[in-house]
Amino acid sequence: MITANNQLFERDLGLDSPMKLPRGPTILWTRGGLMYALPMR
Amino acid sequence: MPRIFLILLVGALFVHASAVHAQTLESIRAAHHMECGTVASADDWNGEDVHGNLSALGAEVCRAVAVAIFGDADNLKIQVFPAEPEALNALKTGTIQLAIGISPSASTATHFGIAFGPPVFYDSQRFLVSKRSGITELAGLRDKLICALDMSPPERTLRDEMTARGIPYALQAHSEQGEMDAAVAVRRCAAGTAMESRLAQSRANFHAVTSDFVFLPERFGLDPVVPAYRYGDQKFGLLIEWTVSALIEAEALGITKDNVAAAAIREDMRAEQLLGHDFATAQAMGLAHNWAAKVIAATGNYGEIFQRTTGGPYHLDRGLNALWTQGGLMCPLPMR
Repeated sequence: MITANNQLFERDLGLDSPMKLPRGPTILWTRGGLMYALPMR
Repeated sequence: MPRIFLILLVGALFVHASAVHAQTLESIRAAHHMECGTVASADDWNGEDVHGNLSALGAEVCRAVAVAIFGDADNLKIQVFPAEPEALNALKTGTIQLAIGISPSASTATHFGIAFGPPVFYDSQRFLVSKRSGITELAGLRDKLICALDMSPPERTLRDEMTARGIPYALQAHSEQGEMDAAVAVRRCAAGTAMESRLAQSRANFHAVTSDFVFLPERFGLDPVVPAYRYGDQKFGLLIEWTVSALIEAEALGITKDNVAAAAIREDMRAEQLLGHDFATAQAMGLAHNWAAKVIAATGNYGEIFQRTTGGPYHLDRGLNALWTQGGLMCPLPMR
């Protein structure tokens, strides 16, 4: 899922897209961003 | 004719019963009373509670929601439950309308027929070590003895994460929280691992040696603690969401319990939206235009609540519960 989300972002909004957005707050919380997964239980 | 009347009466009762569940906010207004539950997380490990006692923080959020609805907290009653299942059952049966301090999951939501509000605390699994050990990072626990509660989620996560990172360790599994706390305090184990809130609460009870213990920087996983309410009342859900958000927005704007009255003359857009010059949020939820100002006057902003209920008593820094602009995850929703 982490890889999947990363791939989606880079393709549609990020450096591989025309928008060239840096991840900023839309990166995982473990890397200083705000994206986190809810517990799966 | 009496039979038809009876059928109509029974039908009306059914409609009424379901309407009460669907319209939590209207029923609170009609009764002019709200019952709110918090979770004390009793010390003994019961297989359900992994967080420390965050009931003081929960009570402030209860108060904030009551003030948003009524303008004051005079009509609020707070019930403290020993653990999450008791609070969730009270929510399900209608004894309380709101519970603060719940660990959200899809299975809990469907089992109790509830929905969740935004996090009021981000918990995470951490490691508590003695400063004297000289250990300053997770790698320093290589081949060391680590204390954890037997069969608890943190014990399982410890195994998974240490295996993934290739750090061998020895495990001391305890069946009781008090036993584990004692082992950590006397440095029988090099580190204790559990949720940050629980470790911080334990450490606060180390008394003379409390300040000798610190957290390692690493965190395993992220477990938000949230409000819960019976599913079905959109307005009540929005009210909870935007009340928590107003507390965070107030902190972001530097609006405190003490300066909120003076802040009413501020002309920056976000302050105007928060404090009632912009009616959109208030109107959507059917609240007084200055509802958020009253909330902040009653409880202070999120940072003030955190410090008073959790940061101060447990010697806990803001960490993940800092604003997103300061390295944390607390992020206000727009007030428009």
